[in-house]
Amino acid sequence: MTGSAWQGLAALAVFLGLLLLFAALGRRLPATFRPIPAFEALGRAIERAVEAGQRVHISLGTGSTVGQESAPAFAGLAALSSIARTTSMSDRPVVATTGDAAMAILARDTLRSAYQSVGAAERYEPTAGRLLAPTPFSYVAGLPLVLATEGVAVHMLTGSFGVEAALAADFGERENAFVIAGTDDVQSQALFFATAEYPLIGEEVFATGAYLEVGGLHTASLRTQDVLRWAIIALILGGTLLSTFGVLR
Amino acid sequence: MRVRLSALWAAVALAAGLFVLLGYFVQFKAIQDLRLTFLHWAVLLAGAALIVGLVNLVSVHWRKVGLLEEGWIYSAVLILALVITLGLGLFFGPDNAVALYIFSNFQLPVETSLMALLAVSLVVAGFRLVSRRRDLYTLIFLATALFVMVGTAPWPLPGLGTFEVVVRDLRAWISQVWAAGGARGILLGVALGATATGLRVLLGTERPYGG
Amino acid sequence: MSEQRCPMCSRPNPPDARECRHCGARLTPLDLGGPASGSGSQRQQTPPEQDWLARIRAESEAAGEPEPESAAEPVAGELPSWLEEIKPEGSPPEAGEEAGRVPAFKADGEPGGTKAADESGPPEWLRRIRAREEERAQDSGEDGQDWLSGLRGSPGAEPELEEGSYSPRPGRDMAAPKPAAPESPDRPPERPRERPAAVSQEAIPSWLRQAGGQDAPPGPDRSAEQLPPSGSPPATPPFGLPHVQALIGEEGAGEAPPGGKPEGEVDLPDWMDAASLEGPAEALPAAGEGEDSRLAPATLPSWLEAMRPVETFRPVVQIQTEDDQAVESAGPLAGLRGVLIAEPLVAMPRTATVGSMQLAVSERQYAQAELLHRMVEDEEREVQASRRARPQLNFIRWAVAGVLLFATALPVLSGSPRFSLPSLEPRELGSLFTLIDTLPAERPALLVFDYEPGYSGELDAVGEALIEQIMVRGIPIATMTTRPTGSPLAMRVIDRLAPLHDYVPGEEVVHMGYLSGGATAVQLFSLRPREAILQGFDLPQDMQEAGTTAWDTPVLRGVAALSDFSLVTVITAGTETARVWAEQAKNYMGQTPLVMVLSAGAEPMVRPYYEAREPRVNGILTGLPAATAYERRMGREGLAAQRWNAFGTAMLASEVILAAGVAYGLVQWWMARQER
Repeated sequence: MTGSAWQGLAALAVFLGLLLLFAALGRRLPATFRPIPAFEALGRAIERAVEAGQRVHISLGTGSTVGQESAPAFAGLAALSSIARTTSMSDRPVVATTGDAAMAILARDTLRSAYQSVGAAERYEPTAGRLLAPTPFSYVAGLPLVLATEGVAVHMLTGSFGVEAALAADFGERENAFVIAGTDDVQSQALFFATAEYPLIGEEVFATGAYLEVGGLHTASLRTQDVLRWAIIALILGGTLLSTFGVLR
Repeated sequence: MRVRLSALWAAVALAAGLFVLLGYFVQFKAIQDLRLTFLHWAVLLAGAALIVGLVNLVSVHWRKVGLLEEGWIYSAVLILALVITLGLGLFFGPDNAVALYIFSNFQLPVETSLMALLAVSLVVAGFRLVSRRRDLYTLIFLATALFVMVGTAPWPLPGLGTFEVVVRDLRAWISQVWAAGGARGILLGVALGATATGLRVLLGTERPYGG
Repeated sequence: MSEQRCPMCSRPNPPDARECRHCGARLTPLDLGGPASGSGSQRQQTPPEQDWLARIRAESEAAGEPEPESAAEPVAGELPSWLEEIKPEGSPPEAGEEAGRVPAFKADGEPGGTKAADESGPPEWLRRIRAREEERAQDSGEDGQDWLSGLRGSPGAEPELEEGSYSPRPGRDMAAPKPAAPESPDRPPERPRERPAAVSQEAIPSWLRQAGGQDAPPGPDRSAEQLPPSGSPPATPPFGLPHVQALIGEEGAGEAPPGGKPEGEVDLPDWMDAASLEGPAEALPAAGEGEDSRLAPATLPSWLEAMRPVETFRPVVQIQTEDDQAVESAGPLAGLRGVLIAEPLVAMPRTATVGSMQLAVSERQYAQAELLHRMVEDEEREVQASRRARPQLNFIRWAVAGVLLFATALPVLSGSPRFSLPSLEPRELGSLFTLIDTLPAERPALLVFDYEPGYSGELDAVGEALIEQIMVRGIPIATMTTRPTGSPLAMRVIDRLAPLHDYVPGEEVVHMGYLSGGATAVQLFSLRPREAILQGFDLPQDMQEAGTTAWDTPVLRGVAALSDFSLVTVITAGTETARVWAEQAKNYMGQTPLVMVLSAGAEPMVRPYYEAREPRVNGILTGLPAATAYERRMGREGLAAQRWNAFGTAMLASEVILAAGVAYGLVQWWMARQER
C-alpha cells in the first residue's frame, strides 16, 4: 500500500473509532447541538400539516445513488423514515419524489419499513415513493403538478441538486408551502438562501437525522463530524503558520 | 432457526461496501478484480433501476388518468410521449432522425425555457430578499452578488479603463479567494457528512434498502 | 272524660284545651256573644259520655229501628243500609256525591229549604233529633236566630242549587286542592255550571244535601254552610267539637224528635240539626222554587272555614256510589272501587298539556347543531384535494420577466446597445491557449459533454470557442457523455462546427455515446475505456451497416487507455462532475492534460484543482466573458461574441432590479423603524 493509502485508512479508522465511541457514550454524555431554526420550524410545520389534513413532500434530489451526491439523499431518506412514521395515520401520508430511479426504489423501501415499524403496513402505497423524471430539469418541471394536486403543505428538499433547485424551492413558495431545503452543492445552497424559506447551509443537511432524532448513531455521527472539523481547522491553521514561517515546504 | 432477511441484506451490503472500499487502499489483485466486478454490477443495476423507475412513473400517471384526477391530461400526454420516444428508440435507435428532431425541437427548448424561468425567479427572489429577511447576512449576500455581476457583465460605461480593471480584479479576488475559500470549507464539512453517512450504511445501522 | 280530637289533624287533645297542641288549630270557636256561643258553651260543658254514634244507635234501637250495619263491610256495589236510607233514589251518580262513605249523621232534607231527593224523607232517628233541638230552642226562648244567621246577608235567600254535578274527569289533577273561600269570586274553568251569582250565599254541602235527598251543587259557594235555624238548640258535637249552629234557615227548624232530648242524646251542631238536614219531599218543591227561606244561605267566616275538616271540605268532589265508582283495572289496586285511577293519570305517560314536545331551539343553537352534524359527516367523507385558489397575478414576477425579456431581445432585434468586447483576459486564458496549441495532432482529443440541455445557452458558446481551436489544429475529436441527453448536445455542437473545418464524421470526429452509471462509470471508463463503451452514437450509415463500433474508427483505433488521448476536456456546469473527473479519472491519465470548460457558477469550486501545487486540472475556461476573450484571441467571432450584447443588457437589467430590491427593502426597514 502506498503512503497515501495508509493515510486514508488511518483517517477512516479514526472516524470509525470516534463514531463508535460517541455512540457508546451517547446516553452518559448527552450532546448539545446549536439550535437550527429550520428543524425547529419543521416539526411544527409537520404537525400543522397533519392536523390540517395536508401532505408532506420530500424531494430526494436529482443525484444518483453512487458518489458523494448520494450522501444528502441518504440524509433525506433518514428524514423520510422519521416523517413517515409520524404521519402514518395522517389522511395524506408523506410522498417522496426523486430524479433518480435507484433512489426512488430506496424511497419506497424506506417507506415500507417505516410503516411496518409502526404497524401500519396496510397504509403503504408503492406510488408514495416515485420517480418524477430521469433528468434534473424535467424533474423540476414535474414538481408543480405534485405540489398543486396533492395538497402539499411542507416541501422538504434534501438531496443533491443543481441550479434547478432554485426552481424547485420557488415552486414550493408559490404554493405557500413550508419550504426547507438543503443540499451538498455549494452553488445550490446559495440559490436556496435566496429562494427557500428555511435554507440549510453548509453541512446542516447531514444533521437532519440528529435533529429529527432518528437514531443514536445519527447523533454520534454529528458529534464525530464536529470533532473532526475542529481537528481539520487546527491542522489548517497549523499548516498555514508552519508554511508561513518556512517550516513546511 | 429463522433467519431474518433484513440481517441478510445488511450482511450483503456490508460485504460489498467493504470490498469496494478496500479496493481503493489495498493493491491486491483479487480485491481489485472483485471491486471492478461490483462496480460493473452497480452500473448494470443502475440501468435496471432506470427501467423500474420508468415502470413506476408510468403506473403513477396511468392511475391518474384512470381515476381522472386533477391534471390527468398532463399525465396522458406524458404517457403518450414516453410511448412514442421509447418506441422510436427501440425500433430505430436513439440516434435516429426523428428522435433527434424531438430532442432538438421539444426537449431542448423546454429545458432552455426552464433555465430562463430560473433566471427570472432568481431575480425576483433577490428583489424580495431584503423585504423577507432583514439581516446582515442578507445584505452581504446581495451586495456580493451585485458586485460579482457588475464585475462579470460587459462594462456599460466606456472610457473608464482603470476603474474597470479595479472592479474586475476585485471581483476575481472575491470569487476566487473569499467565495472559493468558503466553498472549500463547506466542501470539507460535506465530505465529513458523506463519510459519516457511508459509514452508517456500512455498519448496517442505516438501511435505506429496507428492513 | 275523653279527649277531644282536633278537627284539623285529628290528634287527641285534652278536653279543656282551646287549641290543638299539635297543629295549633282552635278547638273551641271564638265566643262572639251570640246564642251560638251559649250553645257552644253549653255543649262544652256537656261532655259526651259515650260515643255519639253509639248514642244514635241507641236511640234507633229504642225506636225500634234496625241497627245500621256499621260493622259489616260494604260489599262492592252495595251500600250500607243507613246510607241507603240517606241516599235518595234516582239521584244521578254524579250528583255531587262525595267520595267515600256518607257520614251517618247526614240526614236528607232539611226543614224548609232543601230539595228532597228521597221521597221517603229523613230517617226516624234524625227526625227525633231535630224535634229535640226544636224543643230546646223553644225552651230557651231564643228567637231561633243564632249568631251566624245574623251574619247572613239574606237569611231567607235560597241558595241556588246546581243541577248536574261535577265529576272528576280523567286527566285532571285529582290532588289539586280546590280552595273554596266564600269570598272568592274565582271559579275553576272546569266547572261551568257553578253558580255565578250567589257569591254571598253558600250552598249546602253535598253530603249534607244528600242527607236531605238533594244534589249537592259544586262550587265554592257550596262551601258556605247554611246557617242553623234561628233558635235551634245547640247540639252537643258528636266528637266534642264546639257547637256550630247549623246553616239552616230560621224557619227551617227540623222536626224535633219527640220526647225531648233523651239521655245520652247526641248534641248535634246547629248546622246539623234537622232543619238543615231534613229534606222531606214537601220541602223540595219549596227549595226548587228557590225561595225557601229555611235554607238561608250563610257565609262562614274564614276562621270557621279553616276549622272545617278537610274530609268534609270537598265542594267540588262528588261522591259516587259504589256502583258508579270505577273499578281499578291495573296495578296493585286492581279490582277495588273508589281508588284513584292509575291509568291514564299515573301509570301511562301522557302528553304534556302545556306546550308541545318540540324543543325550543334558537337560531344560534340550530346553526351550531348543523355545524356539528356537518363536521361529523365530513370526518367520514374523504375530502378530495381541492384546488387552491390561484394567487393573484404576481405583478413583480411578470414585470421582471418582461424587463428581462425585453433587455435580452433588444440587441438581437435592433442591434443596439452594443457592448465592447472585454479587453481584459483571464489569467489562465493564455496558458490554456498555449496548451491547446501544443497538443500532438495525431492523437485524438476526448470531449466529455456532461451538461443538461438547459445549460446549452452558455456552455455551447463557451465550449465552441475551445473546440474551434482544436479543429483549427486538425486534432481528431471523440465525444462521450455520462448524461442521457449529452449525446444529442454533442451532435449539435459538432455538426455546427465540423463543416467549417472539413471534419468528416467517422474520420475526424466520432461520437462514443452515453456512458451510464455516473461516477462509477467514470471509474470504469478510466480503467478500461474499451470495456465501458461498446457501441457508438450516430455513426455513419456505412459503418453501422458494417457493424463497425466507435473503437474501430480511425479516430479511436489507436486508443486503449485514457492516457492515449491527447487531451481530455470536460464541459460541465456541475461541480460534482468536474470533481469526479478531476479526482477519479486524473489518476489514469498520465501526462494527458485535463481541461475544464465550466459555467461561471462552477468556477470557485474547480479553480482550486487548477491552482493547486500539484494541479489535477490543467486548464479552465469559465463563462461567457472568458469565451469571448478566447474567440477574440483566435480572431474569430463565434457564439460567445454573438450573445455578448444580449448578455450585457440582461445583466444590466438584473443588476438594476436587484439594486432596486435592496433599496426598497432598506426603505421599508427604515420606515418600520420610524413607526416604532
